[in-house]
Amino acid sequence: MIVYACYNIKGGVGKTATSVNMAYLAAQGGARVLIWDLDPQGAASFYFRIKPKIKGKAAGLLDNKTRLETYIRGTDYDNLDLLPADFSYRNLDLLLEEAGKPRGRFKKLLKPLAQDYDVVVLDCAPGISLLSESIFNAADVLLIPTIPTILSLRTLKQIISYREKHSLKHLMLVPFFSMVDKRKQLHRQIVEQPPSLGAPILGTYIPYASEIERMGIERRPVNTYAGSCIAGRAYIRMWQEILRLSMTR
Amino acid sequence: MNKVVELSLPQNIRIDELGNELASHFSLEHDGITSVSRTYLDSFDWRLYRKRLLLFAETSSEGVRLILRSQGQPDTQRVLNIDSIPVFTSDISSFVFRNRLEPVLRIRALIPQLVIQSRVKCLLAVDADNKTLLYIQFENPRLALSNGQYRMLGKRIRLIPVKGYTRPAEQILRYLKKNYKFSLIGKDELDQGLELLNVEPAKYSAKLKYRLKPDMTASEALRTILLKLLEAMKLNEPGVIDDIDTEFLHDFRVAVRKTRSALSQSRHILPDSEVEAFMREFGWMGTVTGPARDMHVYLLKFNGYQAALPEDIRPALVPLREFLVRKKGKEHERLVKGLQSSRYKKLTGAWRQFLDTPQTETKSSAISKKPIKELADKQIWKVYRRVIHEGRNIRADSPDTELHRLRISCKKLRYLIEFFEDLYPRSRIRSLLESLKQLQDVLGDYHDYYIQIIALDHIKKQMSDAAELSIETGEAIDMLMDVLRTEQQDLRKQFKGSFRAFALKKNQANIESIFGQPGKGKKGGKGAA
Repeated sequence: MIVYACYNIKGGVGKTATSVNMAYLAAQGGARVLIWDLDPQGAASFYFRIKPKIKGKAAGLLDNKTRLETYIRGTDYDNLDLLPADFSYRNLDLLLEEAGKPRGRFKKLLKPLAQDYDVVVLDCAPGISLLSESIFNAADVLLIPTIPTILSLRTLKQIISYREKHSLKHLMLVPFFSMVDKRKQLHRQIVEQPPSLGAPILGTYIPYASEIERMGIERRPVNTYAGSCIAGRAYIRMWQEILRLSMTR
Repeated sequence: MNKVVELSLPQNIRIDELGNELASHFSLEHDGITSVSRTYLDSFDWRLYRKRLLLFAETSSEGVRLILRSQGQPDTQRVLNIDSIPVFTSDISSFVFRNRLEPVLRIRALIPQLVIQSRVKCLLAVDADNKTLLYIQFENPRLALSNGQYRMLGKRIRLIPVKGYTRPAEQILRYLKKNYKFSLIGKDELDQGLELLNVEPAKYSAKLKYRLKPDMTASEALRTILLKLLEAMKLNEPGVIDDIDTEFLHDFRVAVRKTRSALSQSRHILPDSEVEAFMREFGWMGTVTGPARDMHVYLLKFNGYQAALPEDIRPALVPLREFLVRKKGKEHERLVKGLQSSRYKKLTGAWRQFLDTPQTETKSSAISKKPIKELADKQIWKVYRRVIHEGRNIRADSPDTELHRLRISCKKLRYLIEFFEDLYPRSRIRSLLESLKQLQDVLGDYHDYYIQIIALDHIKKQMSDAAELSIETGEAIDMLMDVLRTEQQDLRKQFKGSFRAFALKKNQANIESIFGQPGKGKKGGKGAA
């Protein structure tokens, strides 16, 4: 089982769209995939038409009494299940602290899933907290959608330094440009000549595209309704690139 | 209810009517009717079935889906959209499927074992967000027979709850139980089909299956073994001719070789004059099948050949592969001619008749009436001592021919133990077989290198004669031969350790206690080199 976490300190950078589309493409490739919607806003759950609700709330996830599997819901797609969000996830930081050994908690939670799933995609909430640290310990690959702007690059640098400072050597950082608007000169400039930040940026970028925004109306992954559009093709190329990279890990 | 439930419908129930009844009662959505064909795939020797895996390709107007799951556990399935039904695992694009199938199937091809055709009527239970909660499928599947006929499997309804949504399935199941008489189908469709065909899966195994008893006469036991070997040849013959995968020819050749080995090591049990003629003919079989097998081996090793060279040299080896593929094609044609010749048909026909006719043994000596255990003990002990003797005489500078002789003796010993393993406690011969296998691996690989180096040199000349050898390819083959020579020499260094492990004093004492005869033949049983 390989665990991908889609993460950025910043919000609104395309984390959920990436998680949903990557999870869908991984499942289309024959892998059994679980996407865990960790964002209390529940956007990934919404895209899959699944109620963002967990029985027993976030505390139930960590109480060691109920198996994580009982919260899992099947999506409408082959090989793809979802662990829904819950608004109480906003308290996950506190709950992790109370439960003890917070940094290793997510790894422990995910371990039993290895029997049923080949791939887990964690759609993380923005910010950097105890929860993020626990996720960094559980994940194998950190997908970092980054808008090609100065501030976003600065944030990316912070994540790279954090990994180094905390000796998270197991964690492969895979930053890529997201919501790229080629009409903007700065976007063009950064995408064409990305600065050296200490982690290579993926060759594929995700464009700013109305087809991706339409996910909110369609409530399904881009490739199910616009697979041949620029964004759909970009997601396919990106998943193949991520897969190649993570296989050589 | 989180699992798939399949219920058998009485034949008088009309699927359409029941579908409409459920749809209106539970506000279900109609999801159309699809014609599907499910092709169950497995290797000739049912490797997936043995590992409790099910693989099938489902073909419909929407395309082909490859489905892999554990037997009896439909909820564990993995689905992959594919363009065409794969033959080898390397044909499958998904790394997840390959990772699961490759360790089981290895180089064996996937063969369509069973085809089920059906029209699937589907209903869906959806919620207010249009999220599917349950799939309901109605089917009346039929099993396609090889003669173009069909056998019906019986009408059925399948409830497939989406994970985490149990209620709709529970409600419908309650309704069905209350209003109709259904029985639960507790078997996979593949098992139902095999049962209808009266086919026992996993019957074929490269390992021979028969029962020997210690007091069987030598003649009776030998005939049992030889008949099984003939059966193995015949079972593999169509796969060899159709060139389905390389294991057919491998298993066929092993059966021929074992037949020759059994005959050469059991003199006088069967009438000598007739056996001699058959030995000659089985020798001919070896030569008919050998060149094609050589090509299989080189092609199977080709990726390893490329990997052994520096990356920039590897492309230069591609013409060698192309040459081998063409040569394999020609050798296969020759092999098929051999297997379809009257000489081959005459040989196998006469051989079966000879083995089936007990009176032929009247011509043979009293040895054929002896209990098999007595003769097996004697022969295994004799060959074991020969192996020890030959192995002890091998020095660092001994010629390759001596290692080759030892390899042949080890092979004879291995075959003997395998022929008669029924007669001995498995726990006692296990360690002998394991250390023998390790020794054989070293000797076998050493010999393979020797043969490959000679063959590559020969192929290089053939390519040159056919004006198909560029300077780069010639240099790449030379480099490859150098690599193989180095690896061969490394193996030679390993020989001493492997032989020492095989010939440990405590092992020898154990072997002697199993096969040895008191007061006889102790001289070879001394300590190892």
